[in-house]
Amino acid sequence: MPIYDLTYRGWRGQRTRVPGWFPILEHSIKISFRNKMLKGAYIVGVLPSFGVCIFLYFANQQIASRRMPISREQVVDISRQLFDLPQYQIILYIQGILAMVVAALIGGAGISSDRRSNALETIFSRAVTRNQYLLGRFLGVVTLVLGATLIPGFFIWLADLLFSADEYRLEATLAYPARIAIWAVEFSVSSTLLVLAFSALIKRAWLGTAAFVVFLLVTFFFINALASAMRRASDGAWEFVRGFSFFDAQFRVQAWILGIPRTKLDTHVSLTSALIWVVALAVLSVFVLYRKVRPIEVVS
Amino acid sequence: MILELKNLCIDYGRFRAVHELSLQFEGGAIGLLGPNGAGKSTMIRTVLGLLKPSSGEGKILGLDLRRDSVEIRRRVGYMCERDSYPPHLNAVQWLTLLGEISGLPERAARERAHECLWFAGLEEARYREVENFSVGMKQRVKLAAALVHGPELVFLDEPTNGLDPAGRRQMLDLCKSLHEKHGIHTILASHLLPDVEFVCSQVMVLFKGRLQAFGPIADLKRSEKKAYVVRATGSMERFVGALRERGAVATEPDRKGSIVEPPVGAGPEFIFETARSIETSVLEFSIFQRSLEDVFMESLRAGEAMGQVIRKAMDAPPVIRTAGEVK
Repeated sequence: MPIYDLTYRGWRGQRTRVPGWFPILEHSIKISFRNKMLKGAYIVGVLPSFGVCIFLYFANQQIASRRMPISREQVVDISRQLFDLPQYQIILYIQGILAMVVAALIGGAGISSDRRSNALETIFSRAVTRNQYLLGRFLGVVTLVLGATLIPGFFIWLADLLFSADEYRLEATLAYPARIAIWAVEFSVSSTLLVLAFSALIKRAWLGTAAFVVFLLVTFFFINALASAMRRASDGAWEFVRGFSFFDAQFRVQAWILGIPRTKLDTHVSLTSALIWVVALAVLSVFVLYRKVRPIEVVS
Repeated sequence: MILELKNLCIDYGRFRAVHELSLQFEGGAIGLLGPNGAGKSTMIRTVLGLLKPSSGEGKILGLDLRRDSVEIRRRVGYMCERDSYPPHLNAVQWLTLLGEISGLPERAARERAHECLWFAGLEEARYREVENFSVGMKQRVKLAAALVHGPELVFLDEPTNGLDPAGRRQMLDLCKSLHEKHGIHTILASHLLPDVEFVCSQVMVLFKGRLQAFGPIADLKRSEKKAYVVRATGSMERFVGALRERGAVATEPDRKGSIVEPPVGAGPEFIFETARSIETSVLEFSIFQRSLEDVFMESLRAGEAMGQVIRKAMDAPPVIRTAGEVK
């Protein structure tokens, strides 16, 4: 059908079997990359992993250039002390926070702008259900957040393998990619759901992002202050309470996924309460999304 | 059959918005009239599959309202009353997205977006952000958006809202051409009776969730009683007085004359005989036709009267019979 023939003809062609969420996902990603601020956040988000790669290269060069010959066990020890799971966790956590900024920037504008501009009325008058719309919006954000966590994580692991002085490093770190992937999925899904819930709650895009950030900071400071107060009174309870801060909960769950033993952890957060909080927030977010994004609202 | 509803009831909680609506629309262009709160939007929502009816059945383009809501929306277009577009998107991007959601391949959706914007007269503004459009242009974008997926039936909700007279006329021409030139069945919801009369050949009037009138406009406008518009030479007041004395019903004369209804059994010759009897002559004589506004207002009055009867019946204390009274 040539584009220069613009007389109105209607459409009698074959319709695609693509599900309704797919165009919304595609649209979300396209729109996100038109945003200069987001592009900047994405680039900044990848920078720490490059920094780590450079650090690993020079640190391992340093080990290799030692004059005194050292045994294989010593090489393994030095390698592990230089960069292993605790270091992975700190770097990946920083990546995660940056990915959360990406999520806030993309997700904050997602549903709120559609609600505010009443675009939902027209969208839901098409062959798309609420589930498909929400899935498309969710996948649009989660894909980008996954990219901002998974890709840097794999980069670091590859750099660790390539530059390590330990020739058996692959064997020692074989489980890491799977653990990094599981963490990235957990982190992306939970932070995306939370951002989208704020986006659905508040109709102004920037206000949704701001509310999300305020929620994270307030819960962090409030819960930690509460935990500090409780620490004097009770031994175990304060660790349980700390699990209800999103940042601390994510850090604890991440350590659990990466397989870092509790003895090596500096943080005092209960895994049970962290898991409860992460799952509860996800369920609450889904509930909010279903309450606020409704086809019934569209014409009222 | 394009739209078939049988005893359709729609409730919002305890409030019944639509009462046992039954109609059969065979196609063409039909106006959906009714005051605010009459149930027009509720009916449109239900027909689009966004609301589930509480009881009754309905089919649109042969598809069941309850089961096939997604397929219905694939084949039906909807131009909403309020502004509805996401920010920071130009008209082509917005329409392409809507086309893709409706199942068009990406390339076809893009082509259709251009085609529909061209049809709506926005060829020059296609790459401008919709939020920067004027009111008239936004209305046109909404029309183009309703057509982008090539619907067989289109709902237009107040398409001339906020338009200047020239823009309104252009929009009405576009709406009219949908059925007449392109074979798209049209349901036009509007408060503006002249708009409905210009675009549609049929009309349905809803009032408080009940269907008050439905059929071709020409049939509805035809008065059940035989009445004539008459103007005579000399004093119209004297002529009207003579008509009334002889048993006719006649309205107060104005610039156009008087509407005269002869007595039962009398024909139009009665009017000429009366004119002869007072030595005057008839200047103008035509069969009286009600306007669409008359039809609309009569429907509302009938609906109000029925509502009062129902309210009275509901307010009346219930009759409690004892076992002995039951025969």
